[in-house]
Amino acid sequence: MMRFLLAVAMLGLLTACPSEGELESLMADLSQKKAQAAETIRKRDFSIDGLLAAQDYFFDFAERTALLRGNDDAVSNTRSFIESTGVSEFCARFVIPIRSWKILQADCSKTQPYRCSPDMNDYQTAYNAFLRAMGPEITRRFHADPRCN
Amino acid sequence: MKSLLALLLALSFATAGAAEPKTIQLSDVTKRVSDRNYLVRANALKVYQAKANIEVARGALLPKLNLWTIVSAVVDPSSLIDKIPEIAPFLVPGNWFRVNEVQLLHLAEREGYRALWANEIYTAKALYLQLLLDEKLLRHVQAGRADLERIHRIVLTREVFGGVRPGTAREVEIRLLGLAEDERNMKVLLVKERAELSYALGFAADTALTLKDVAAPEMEKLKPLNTGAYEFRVLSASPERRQFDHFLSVVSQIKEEIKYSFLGVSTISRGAAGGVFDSLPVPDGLGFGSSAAVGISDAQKEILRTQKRGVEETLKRQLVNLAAQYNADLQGFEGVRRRLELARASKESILRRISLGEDVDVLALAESAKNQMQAETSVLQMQARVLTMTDRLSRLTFTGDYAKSPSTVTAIRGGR
Repeated sequence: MMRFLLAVAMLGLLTACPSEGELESLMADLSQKKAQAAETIRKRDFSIDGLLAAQDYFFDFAERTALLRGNDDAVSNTRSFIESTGVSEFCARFVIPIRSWKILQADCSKTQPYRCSPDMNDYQTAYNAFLRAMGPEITRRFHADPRCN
Repeated sequence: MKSLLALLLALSFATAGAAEPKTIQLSDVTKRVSDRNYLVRANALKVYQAKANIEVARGALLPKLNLWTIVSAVVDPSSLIDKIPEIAPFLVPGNWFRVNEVQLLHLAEREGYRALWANEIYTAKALYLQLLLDEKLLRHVQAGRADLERIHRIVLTREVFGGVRPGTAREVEIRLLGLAEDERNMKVLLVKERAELSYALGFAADTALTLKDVAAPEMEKLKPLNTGAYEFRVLSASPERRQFDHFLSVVSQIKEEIKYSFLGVSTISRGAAGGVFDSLPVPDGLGFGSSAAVGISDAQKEILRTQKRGVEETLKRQLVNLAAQYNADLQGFEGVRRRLELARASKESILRRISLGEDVDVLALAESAKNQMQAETSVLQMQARVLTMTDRLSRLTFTGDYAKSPSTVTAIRGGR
């Protein structure tokens, strides 16, 4: 019986929902997209190609935030991942700060109708939804960190 | 008093079988289609199914115990290892990836629903504007016919007194009969269009629809469309393209499923929305099929990327075609308006000369009446086309009415 319980415990460690380490590999893609979007904004490259590259990030961020909704395990793994990475480092790798997004937003709002994507327009909403899922402590640290804002 | 009651009763019976009249305006169309269109309602239910499937998939992560599992565990505790996918499905990573897939498929289904909803609204609005245009054209045909009848009477009198070439009355009558045929065809077309619009708006078949007119666009004030300003918005807001983005995320999850398939394969259904991925193999246990399965899912990703590019190119062309027609109409409107002015002046001048007793070729009068009718038709068609194209641009960019969210099943059922 002990052997059986040990086997179950080992399996528990091996399996189940994506762990923190697995989460890192799943997030690698988002990090790359974030770098592209940040570059588009930094260079003010609001050409169609530049905006399409940035759109990949905003779409992915909104999609991932939607996946967190109602999924407690995913939320808890993401929290642990942020804790182990550090809020500042997490933002540097995965989050477009709101002040950078505002640069993009200003350009997109110049014309009527709004020329950018719905995901870009709703980024602040998705960002807030992400923080709500992460809880008050991480939210406070996000607000305090210049790399997140 | 009795006779009054009898009269009221008789009136109510007399109207019981008649069609219920309904007056609508263009701004009612979006709400009506959102809440009552049959296709939209059916698709809202599909989204509901996809959403409910998330709960089913999450529920499938919880242990499933039955009496026989417990009995076999008592007899032989080590047999529980074989039953892990059953008694502890949350220990199978594939199940977690499957839950993610179901969530992503719900998002994809929502995009599909948004596309269908927007298409139905656009079609209904275009039909509304076409119906208004055809009603106006019918009135023009009727007015043209009345003009030609008048000319026909003049010609008949002149033929008797020898004022026109013999056979002129016959030629005018041929034109008159042609117009009568046009009128009949227009009336049938209007009945069909009205029935189609009534169906799109979810009205009962016996509803008699009356449409409120729409103000003509101020063509002189409109500016030409520059496709560059809209291209990114069209691509990024397109639900058809966004659906592919969600599908691509699903394939990434399936790849993860394959990677961890040696720890068990998920039996959780992806639901109706995931049918397209059911043919992707996920090998069971440690074997040599995994790399081939990864190859298949990579190829599926490439297929989806190709299809997405196809959607993008189609959207770009739709925008180019729209701008070409819109700009041509803006540019050509002044010419059409001038043509109408000249046609009217020409007809009035011929009529004035006839009233002064001048010997005028009556066929020239019939020709000028026809020219006026054609010019009026061109003006109306151009105005209606610009209105439809403006709405088409909103559909492509998901702005205006299309920026709203389509109704959910709860809202449609009245739980708003």
